Amino acid sequence: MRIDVQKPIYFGNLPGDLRQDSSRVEYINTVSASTSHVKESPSLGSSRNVGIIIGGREERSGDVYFSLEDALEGDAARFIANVSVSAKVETYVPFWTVFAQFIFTGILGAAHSSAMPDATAETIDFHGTIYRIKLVQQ
Amino acid sequence: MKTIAAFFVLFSSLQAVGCYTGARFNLVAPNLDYPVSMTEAVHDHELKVRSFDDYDELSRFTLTFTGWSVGFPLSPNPQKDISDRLNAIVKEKNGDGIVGLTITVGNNSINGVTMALKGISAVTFAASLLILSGNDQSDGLILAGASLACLLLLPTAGEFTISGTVVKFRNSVPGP
Repeated sequence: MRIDVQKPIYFGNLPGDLRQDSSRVEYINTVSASTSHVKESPSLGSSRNVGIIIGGREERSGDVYFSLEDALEGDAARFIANVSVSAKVETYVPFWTVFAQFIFTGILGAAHSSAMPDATAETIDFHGTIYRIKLVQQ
Repeated sequence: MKTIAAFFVLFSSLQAVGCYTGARFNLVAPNLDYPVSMTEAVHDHELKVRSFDDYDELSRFTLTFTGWSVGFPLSPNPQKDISDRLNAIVKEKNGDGIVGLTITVGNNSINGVTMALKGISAVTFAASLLILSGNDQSDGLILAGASLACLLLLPTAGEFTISGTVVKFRNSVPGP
């Protein structure tokens, strides 16, 4: 399923024309959204292929898109700009795995089990500002 | 008694730091010269919203880079500014902007190595405390300092992939 957002969501600053003439836009509110992805038992080195996506045409971006669609709903002149992204990557190994390996095989065993993560996780936090274009008075 | 104390310290150290590593990154673009939209919609120079039928797709692009951080949870988030790289891509293709910007983040395999080194550092730290409690305190102090520094400052990494499409508006007046 493809999720369409028919209004612009600008990564970074307001587009040039609006930045040069900020009187054309009206500040509405800020918007934040978050999405995360957890993969269990990834093999060492394969975690490079694990990721989450926001933006574009990907279905996996759905959680974020639904939040943004709500923020933009009902006003054709609305759009989002000043978008920045905070990303977090995490790797977990069960404590008991490392500890048992240390007891039975020493430091190298503990190191080996530490290097074989039980789970990896990625989180992206999306932050932006909702604006609307002001109507030009004739 | 010392053995029990060392066992307790080792147990706590591993539990506290040996089983988790992570990193945070901020991705920003505060100095873009062109509109860079994460959807298919984008304003043209006349502030009309343009979509699929209103622009030509010049080329797709993909940027990949590695963001480096340290595993210490209280360290500040490194900030990556990609304004210049996105500006250069649009300028090179003589486009009017970017649509469909996609951001992907993933774990890097270096984090597995960091986990292993943190495990070793935690064990070394516990052993150094045992040495500190004995006669040879100078060696124990050096070992404790070195292993603690490793625990706090080992690098972690995240893989970023940024892709999008450079577009040129049809029947548009030139931008400023």
